[in-house]
Amino acid sequence: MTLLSVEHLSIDYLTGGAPIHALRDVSIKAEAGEILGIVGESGCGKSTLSLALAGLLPAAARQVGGALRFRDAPLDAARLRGREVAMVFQDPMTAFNPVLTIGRQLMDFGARRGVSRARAVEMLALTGIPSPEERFSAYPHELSGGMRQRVGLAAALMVEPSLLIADEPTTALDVTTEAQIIALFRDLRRDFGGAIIIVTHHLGVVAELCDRVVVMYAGEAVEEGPVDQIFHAPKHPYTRALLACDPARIAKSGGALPVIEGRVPSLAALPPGCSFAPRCPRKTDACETLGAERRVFAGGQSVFCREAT
Amino acid sequence: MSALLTAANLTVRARGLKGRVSIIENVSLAIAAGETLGIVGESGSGKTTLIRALIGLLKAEGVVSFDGHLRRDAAMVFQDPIASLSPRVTIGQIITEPFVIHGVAMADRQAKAAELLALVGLAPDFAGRYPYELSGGQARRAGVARALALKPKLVIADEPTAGLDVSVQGEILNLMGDLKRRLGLSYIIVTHNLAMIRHVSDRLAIMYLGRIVEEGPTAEVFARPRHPYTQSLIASEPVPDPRQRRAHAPLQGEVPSIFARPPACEFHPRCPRAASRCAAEAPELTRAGQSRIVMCHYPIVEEPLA
Repeated sequence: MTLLSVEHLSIDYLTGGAPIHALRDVSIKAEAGEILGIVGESGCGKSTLSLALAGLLPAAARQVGGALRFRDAPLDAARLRGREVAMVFQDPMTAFNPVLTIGRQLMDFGARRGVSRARAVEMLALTGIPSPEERFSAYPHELSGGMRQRVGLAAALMVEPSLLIADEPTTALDVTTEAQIIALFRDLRRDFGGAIIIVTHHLGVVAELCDRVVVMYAGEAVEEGPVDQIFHAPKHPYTRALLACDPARIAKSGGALPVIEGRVPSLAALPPGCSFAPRCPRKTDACETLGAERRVFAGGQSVFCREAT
Repeated sequence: MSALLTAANLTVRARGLKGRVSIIENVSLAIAAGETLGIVGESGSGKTTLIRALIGLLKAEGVVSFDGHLRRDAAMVFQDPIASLSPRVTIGQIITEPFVIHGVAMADRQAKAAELLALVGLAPDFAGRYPYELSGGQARRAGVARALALKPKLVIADEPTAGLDVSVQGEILNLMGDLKRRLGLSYIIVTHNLAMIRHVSDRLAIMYLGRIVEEGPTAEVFARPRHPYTQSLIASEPVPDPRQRRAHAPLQGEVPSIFARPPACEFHPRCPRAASRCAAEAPELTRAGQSRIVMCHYPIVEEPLA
């Protein structure tokens, strides 16, 4: 069942100068029971997308096209957030109030939504917090980064949301803790019937966790499909280049590391045609004049590239 | 190879609310001319404190000897170059500042700035820009240019690629590799990024709770880790291949606080190989084959091939 569908969404930031086209014509779907990854580098629009889904866009953002739908009705993100839609952030230290105990904050948030204290403690235990009763009276700074991320996850899941959005959930963590949080997400999904969206720049996290992945570049979804297909048979030249750059995928050679020549274009002054064309090894004249074209391949692999075969 | 820098029995202590604690415990290391040493550890492992002690930014017990003038021939590239560069000073001034600090004469400051910028692949007009006008990758380049100002022999880089996109990370590492060969530099690179350090270092030191628990040639350490912590660390790194998913997190629990160091082997409460001896007796750093050392009672040894 499709829980969430984003249809041709375009979002600009108005900053006084030329508008910044942060998202352009982005369409994604999240199905119940799946983990969808949204991956890309700085400035690709992945954070704008996750903020739009949670109804947390800053005041300067304008939706200039498209629609968000949840359970086949227009998504009222501000109303659903904290109920049907929950969010986990990169560093829950900044999401918690430093002068209130963990328990007080969980209950401030949960009581209005009919969550009992016992249920909150149970959620802490479920997310792997040792001695959850004691931790209830701890302050955020008394917990490690990994423990804070577990509490953030407990708070998000306490309200039994059907859509969980996690924005860079392991980026601030050490690698051994990251592995624990990845394992926790995997355990949780078994009992969680909803959809999980993981927004990250880390290809390893996507490979470990996600069923499907959307690759973003310069505000557009350039490739989407089953995670195995995207990692083993990427079709968009940007996806290929991105995967090739990851040192974790390169056998030690001692030679130079691959890079993507050129720069991400300014989102306020986009090149004509395909946005990746200026850096693309396979570009033709048509890419620059006519722009990219979406092509769909077997397995639902969708590629925004006219040269993709 | 003669050692460019040697540190013997370095210990850094600090006064905490709960009394005196050691952040670095009895660390010894050496780096040869032309070598890249990677120092790897998680938060709280003491890796940043160690390099600060090495170049004298922190008071430490023990001996550091360096073939040169430590403050001039060893230079540091800081982790966050935007924060470490003053926002109100131009890039040209920032990268030539070491000359002013050390009272070294410059014939022409502008020409010097242009020369340093060229060295790191930035156009001369960057000299007039301010730090906030630079992208993450450009700021790293400027940080490297400043470090190279006085022609050091040793460059110490703290997380040189943290926060950079993977496509930009390669550019900075390639630049550092190129400069190392052209200028005959030695590097100490401190990081938590295993995938990165595997590509750029010759030798690796793994730190846990302020101690070096394993050291050896990078390729060997990755191929055959001896210390159970090193093995868990390598296994924890997510593999960017959905066909190689892990069933479980390789390591449970968290790094203990330096205020509550576990007795005997400090890794034993988390160690999958721990035995009663590990809780009773602290292991010493011992040789494990040629050019490798490990601090473990029961290091992982290779199974003989049948």
